Amino acid sequence: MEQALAWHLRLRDGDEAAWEEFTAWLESDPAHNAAYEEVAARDAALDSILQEANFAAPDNMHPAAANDEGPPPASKGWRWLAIAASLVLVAMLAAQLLTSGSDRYVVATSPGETRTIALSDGGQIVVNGGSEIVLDHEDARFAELVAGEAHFTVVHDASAPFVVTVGEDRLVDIGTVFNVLREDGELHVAVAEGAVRYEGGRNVELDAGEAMRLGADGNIQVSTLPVEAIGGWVDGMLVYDATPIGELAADIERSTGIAIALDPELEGRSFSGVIQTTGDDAALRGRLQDLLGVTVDSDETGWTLRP
Amino acid sequence: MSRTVFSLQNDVDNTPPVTLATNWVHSGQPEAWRTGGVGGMKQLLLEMHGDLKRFALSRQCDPDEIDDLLQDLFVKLTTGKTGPVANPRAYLYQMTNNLILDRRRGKRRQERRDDAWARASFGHELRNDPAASPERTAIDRHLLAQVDAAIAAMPDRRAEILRRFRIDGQTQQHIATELGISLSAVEKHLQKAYHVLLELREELENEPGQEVV
Repeated sequence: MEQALAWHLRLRDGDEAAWEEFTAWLESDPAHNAAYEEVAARDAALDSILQEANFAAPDNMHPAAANDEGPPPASKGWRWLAIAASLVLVAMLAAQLLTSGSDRYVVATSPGETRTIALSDGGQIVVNGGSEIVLDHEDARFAELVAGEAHFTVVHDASAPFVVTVGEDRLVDIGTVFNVLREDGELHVAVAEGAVRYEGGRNVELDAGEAMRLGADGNIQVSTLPVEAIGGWVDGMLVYDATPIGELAADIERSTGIAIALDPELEGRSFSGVIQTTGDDAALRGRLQDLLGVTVDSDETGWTLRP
Repeated sequence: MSRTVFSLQNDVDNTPPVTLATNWVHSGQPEAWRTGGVGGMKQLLLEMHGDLKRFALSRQCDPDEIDDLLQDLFVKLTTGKTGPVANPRAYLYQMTNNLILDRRRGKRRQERRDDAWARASFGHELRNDPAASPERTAIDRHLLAQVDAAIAAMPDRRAEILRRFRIDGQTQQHIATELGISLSAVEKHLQKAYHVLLELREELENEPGQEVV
């Protein structure tokens, strides 16, 4: 059914190659035709209904920034409360850290603590747990990621690009939502919308759905990934595809603040799927045991994953 | 997570390859076909006879039906007006597919009509215009309320993509470009939106005594 639906969607504006591949798909299993017929018939039956259906006004559909005015959509209320709460915290912390003679200030989070920073130009930065970022009151287009991970939603202005400094290197936005992780001498950048230019030993332009890994050895790898997976931690959703369990443990530690140790036997193992980090610790522990097929031992120092 | 490397997300395995999707709206055809009008189309239909036949077979048409179908298509191309078509070969596939869908839809109604239970309960209604009956209208109102609720429950971005694609007829590539997101994100939004809507249709069909095709 899902495949049939995918074909149905693709074929509406499909080119010749799409039709040829569709033919091959139909030929590969006689049941495919019936599945496709079902999808097409149901969709056609919705024609008149959908013409009358109530779609909200397109004007209301801009991706909301944290400091937008007006009531947030009801379904996302909890998230807005959380953002509002963390904005207050950040404002207080920022005031404390404001050093005399400089407009720069530091925002540092402990593991498990996420902060949302609304920039004066309408942009937004979500700082993951266990991270440190330097911002500038006078310059809303500047950020330096000292350590950890942050997710940037940037208002694009070609005449004044948003620049994230990472060590000696720079990330320059070309209109943009992107995620940056700095850990263990590596730099990971993933672009969800727009594009980002990495300026380091050499320049790399990343489009939406592309990710870059700069290894400690200076090698750069570019890969593709679903944009929905980028910065999933902002919504408490960690998405993996054949990722070593060690990396996953570091992510969970950052998001939850729970120190996670790994039994050496698990080091070679990898995981594909989605882990929800929201909810209470007991629920997360249960999910990890189910999803990873491991035992999670808990003591006062944190959790240990065992086979 | 930024560090993970993906080929495809789990839930879209086995769907059409994304790499090809970026070329959907481009036409690789020579300029002549774009403006070739009826004559060019008929010529193309002859050239594509084998391809369309294979397609119709894969759609499980029997050989007699295929001859009928291609004859219908030929007549439509001769009598109908076709303006400039961006991709004539895809257009002929599309027309063939539409003709098959129309036929199957008619056949479905016929089968339901032949069903003794349906005949006893609703036969008179099906023979007339089903859209005109009060019951039909009540079903539609019910369904419209469900569709409205389903759309309201979608993320705003998804509802907008659905509207652009289904109501405004924009291509997925166009939507991706306008919203500044990837084509595969548009695909996934549409998949999820359609999934919900088509399930509504299924629930309704499973309610006894209702003709919804």
